[in-house]
Amino acid sequence: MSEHVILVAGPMGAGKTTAIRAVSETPVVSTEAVNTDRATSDKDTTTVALDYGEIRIDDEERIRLYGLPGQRRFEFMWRILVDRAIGMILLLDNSRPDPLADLAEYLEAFDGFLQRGSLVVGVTRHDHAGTPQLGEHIAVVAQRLPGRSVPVLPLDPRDSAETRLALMSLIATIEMEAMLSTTRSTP
Amino acid sequence: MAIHSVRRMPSPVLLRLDIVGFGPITIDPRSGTYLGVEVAALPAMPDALSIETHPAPAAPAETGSGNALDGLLWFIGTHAFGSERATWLWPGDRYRLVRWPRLVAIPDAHDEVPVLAALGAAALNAAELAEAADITPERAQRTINALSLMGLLESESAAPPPTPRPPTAATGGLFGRLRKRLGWG
Amino acid sequence: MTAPHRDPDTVEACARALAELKDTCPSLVFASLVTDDGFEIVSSPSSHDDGRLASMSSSVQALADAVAREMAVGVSEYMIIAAESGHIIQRRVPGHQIVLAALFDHHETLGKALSVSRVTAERLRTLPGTTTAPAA
Repeated sequence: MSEHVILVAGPMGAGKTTAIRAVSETPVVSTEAVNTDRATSDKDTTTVALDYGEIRIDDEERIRLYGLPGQRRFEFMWRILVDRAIGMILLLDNSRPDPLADLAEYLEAFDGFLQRGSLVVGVTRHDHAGTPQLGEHIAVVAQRLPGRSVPVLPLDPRDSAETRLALMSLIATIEMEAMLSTTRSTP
Repeated sequence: MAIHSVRRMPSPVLLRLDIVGFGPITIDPRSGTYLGVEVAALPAMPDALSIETHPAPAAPAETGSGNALDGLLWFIGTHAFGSERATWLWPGDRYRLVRWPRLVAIPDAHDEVPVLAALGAAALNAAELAEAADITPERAQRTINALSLMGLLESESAAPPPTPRPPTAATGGLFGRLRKRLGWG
Repeated sequence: MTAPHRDPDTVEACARALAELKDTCPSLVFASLVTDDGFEIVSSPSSHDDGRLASMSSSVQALADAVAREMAVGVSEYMIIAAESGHIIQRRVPGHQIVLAALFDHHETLGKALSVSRVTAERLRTLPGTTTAPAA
């Protein structure tokens, strides 16, 4: 069995669980708990371990999608899950108080992984909150990952076509970086 | 050519295209939008058009108004020069994608994704892009023309040619298999 | 409704329950009551790990619940992590989004560890607060 592990990361409420549900071909395994920390987010529930979904390419090949819990107190799960991953979709909620700070924080948190793994950034609620503009997100990525061309896309995680496009952008980036890049190690 | 030149102007300008038989299009590079005829209604080769530049209003452009400029520029860039190199591009240069376009504004974006990913991974000329992305040299050139018009490429005239490695055993061809699985090719 | 870990009455009741557990079972090395979403209500002895263990307990509990759902074997009753130097028992407090995690040293029998942890969890059923079911 050939498996390809893709992580979906981002702050609480960015749409990680929703995005995995939009593309998974199997019922998503989720680990939601009642959210008692309403000061941080007004969501009813929060992911406390992981979300898991799959796309079955064929009987012998699967894409495994792992949604990471968004809150930093669960970052031990990030370390566990990042080991086997080859790429990450990082979702950012543009309606949060400081999405660019969120982006910088997550790029730093996953710095080790991003030295070998590929990345796509999906900006959610981009149409509801016009700022920051996509160009500002791109600038943060460029500063943190110089020399890398990282897709930064507006993304509605409820829209399966948009989420699939983000996933395909990630897979294409993984393959082309492996084939053409001379500066990073092959995943 | 005029659209490409507008990017280099020191002061912000609006660009107005009047396409005979189709009406005006006003492009505001500051906001990345345009007002006027939608891309789907445009002819591949207009009979005639006029182009004017106007100083942009002092007030910043309204965010969210107008159509996404990426879609219009993609259309113009992929049609304006046929399969020839755009007039501002130098022979021998290689190009690297520094920023992805808004995929939702590009028709059949899933077909373009591996082409964009190749240009993101290495500096390539049209022939090298064609080989890496398994497309025709003509399509590769049209893509480079369009992305350059959109201001998304940086040229690397001194870049060495990439040494493509075969797809890894781990993922080799996964994009194609995924696309087929999702019913997109 | 005040979150359990911020409600003084809940914290006090939980502290008493852990003290009684220790009295009943001297082989108890460490015990903690945590919310489903990973906040520590109280622990004995006090933990100094910035709540990391509480988060891990909630993750492990949620994964166990997910496995039980996937296998369609009903609600998970308790979990055992059997290690070289002791056993960790985790079980839910009935009717609350609270998990008891207790570490017993390896001299303790599994049967007794399960029994005393069950009794403690049952005693906490009368805690103030809602009795909604855990999130799916």
